Amino acid sequence: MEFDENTTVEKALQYKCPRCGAPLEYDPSAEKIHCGACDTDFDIEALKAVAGEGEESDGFDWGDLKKDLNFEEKLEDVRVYQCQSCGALIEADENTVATKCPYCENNVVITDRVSGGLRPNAVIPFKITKKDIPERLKAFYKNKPLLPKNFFSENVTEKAQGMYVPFWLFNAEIDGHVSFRGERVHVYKSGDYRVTETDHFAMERDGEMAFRNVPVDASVKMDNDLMDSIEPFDFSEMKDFDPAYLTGFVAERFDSTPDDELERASGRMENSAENVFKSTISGYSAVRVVTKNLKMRNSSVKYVFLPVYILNCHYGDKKYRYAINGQTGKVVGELPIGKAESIKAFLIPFLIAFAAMTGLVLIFV
Amino acid sequence: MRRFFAVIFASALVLSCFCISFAEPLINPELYRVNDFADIYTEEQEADLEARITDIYTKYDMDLTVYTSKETAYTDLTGPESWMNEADDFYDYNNFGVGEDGRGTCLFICMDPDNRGWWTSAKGAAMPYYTEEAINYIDDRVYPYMRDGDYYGGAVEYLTLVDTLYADGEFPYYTEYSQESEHEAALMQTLPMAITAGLIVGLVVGLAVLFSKKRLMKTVATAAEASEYLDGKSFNLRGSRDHFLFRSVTRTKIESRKSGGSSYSGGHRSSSGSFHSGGGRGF
Repeated sequence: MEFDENTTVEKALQYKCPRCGAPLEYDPSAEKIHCGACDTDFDIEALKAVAGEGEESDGFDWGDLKKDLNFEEKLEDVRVYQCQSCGALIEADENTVATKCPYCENNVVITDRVSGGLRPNAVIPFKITKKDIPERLKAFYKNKPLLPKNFFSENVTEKAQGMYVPFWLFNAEIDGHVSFRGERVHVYKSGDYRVTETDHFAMERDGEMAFRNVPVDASVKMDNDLMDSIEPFDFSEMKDFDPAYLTGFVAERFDSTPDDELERASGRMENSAENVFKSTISGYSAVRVVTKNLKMRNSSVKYVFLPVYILNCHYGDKKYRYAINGQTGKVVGELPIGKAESIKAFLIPFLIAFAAMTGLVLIFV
Repeated sequence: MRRFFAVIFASALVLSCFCISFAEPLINPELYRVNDFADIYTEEQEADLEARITDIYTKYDMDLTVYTSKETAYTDLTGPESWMNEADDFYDYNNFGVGEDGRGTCLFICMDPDNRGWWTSAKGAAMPYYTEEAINYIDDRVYPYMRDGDYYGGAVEYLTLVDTLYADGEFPYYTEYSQESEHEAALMQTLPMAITAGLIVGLVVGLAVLFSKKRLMKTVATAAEASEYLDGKSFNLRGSRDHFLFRSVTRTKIESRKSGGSSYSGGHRSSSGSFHSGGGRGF
């Protein structure tokens, strides 16, 4: 892209060390902002005072403010920011919130994308550091019996990228009525006959329950299944949002609204509600749902940033993407399955069972 | 001369009386040998079975009767004990048997729906023939007929085997060598079934192990529930009602054992005081 006098240039907020002026990064292990140059740690509150930031407005709650927001209003596809460290002009697409200057590698937070109506309610800061990742991966590959033998020698793992992924946390109360059918079976012998008596029942359950912080990722780019799989997060460690937590990591704002994701969240809640009602039924040999009438009320949604490491692994001609929960260290991702290992996993138990069964039939029949 | 012939005649008379007094009791021809109180044979079948039995006791000097009933007198018993007692009693109290030892057998078939089975009761010189092996041999071959409701076919098979038993003293295939060859034949018959069962079970187990290991490789899945996010204290069950709708009943016939399942008695006293042996099986 070429820049001229008409190009709008905006300043991006950067955190500099008040002691030596070097760029700062958030340190998950210490839960402080760290200066790598003079090896000094700063509290976020202290840094805010130095940087001259005022009190931010309260994080928003979609439940109250959603109706006033215009989701059709889009930022320009690409905007240009000026790096405060080296003066370079940085392009950032409409969703980028935090990134690195490609020239001086300084951390950049685009604060107008996380302020006002777009400010997240909360953030869970990173607890797992990049140094922890190799150990986590090693544990992940353990007990994976179908992994090809040459996977460890031939795979190429890219450097992990720590990023804050935007999530919607849904709260809701479910109120409803579910109807079931159940059976009780009694078998006994009468002369030369086996008699099976099956008693059929209709069961009804009414009740209510609440769900808190059901997470659904708010990024179209992130694979939904991957983001579902790195759960759970410990939301008791959520902190009020501050852009300082983003330094040193990549972040993107939401590009999928709560209405887009409500079906995912409500589907999970309804399935769990059905199971909760079913758990109150006992004494039957078989139970199935006949009808359910579940309503949601008092729903609300929060906008949060959750920590995730993303890394790609190349093996053969395929790329495998892994995600690591930046709070708990849980690793998920698709793994390659070796043909030879699959054949061995099938053949050995097959041969043992075949020999055992054949022998048993010959002996006892 | 007249005196001579008179002595001869008197001697002959005394001798014949002596002989008669020591002659063995003959089979009682007035008794029916087929007593079908359960009415499982037609008249033609009864006549045929009578003829076969007559042939056997003529050839081997062993009495034989076939007795069927819808119940036993022993209402407090079921199974082999009830059939054994009924067979013994029918044979003894109806004066079946040949000779002083009352040798012969009674085949009793019980058609009580809750107590179906048959019993061979042997008495006197017939007892040594009916060893446990012989009883099992006969019952194995009679069982398929009885199981399938061909009671006449079962009786014919029974009488044919008894004929063979009396003729040869034991069954021709029941020697040690025959047991081995019978074992080989059984093995060849069972082998295809054993291999098929082995293949099916092996396939199921092999696939189950493979899929369980594949599941370990799969760490990414759509979250279908939100149970971890349920506020446990918030659950309030307002109403709970269970209503009985109806009952359905099914009855399934239990298959009896195929072979080697006969009960056997090597010797016991019946209610009449006589000594019997025998064996039988349910169907």
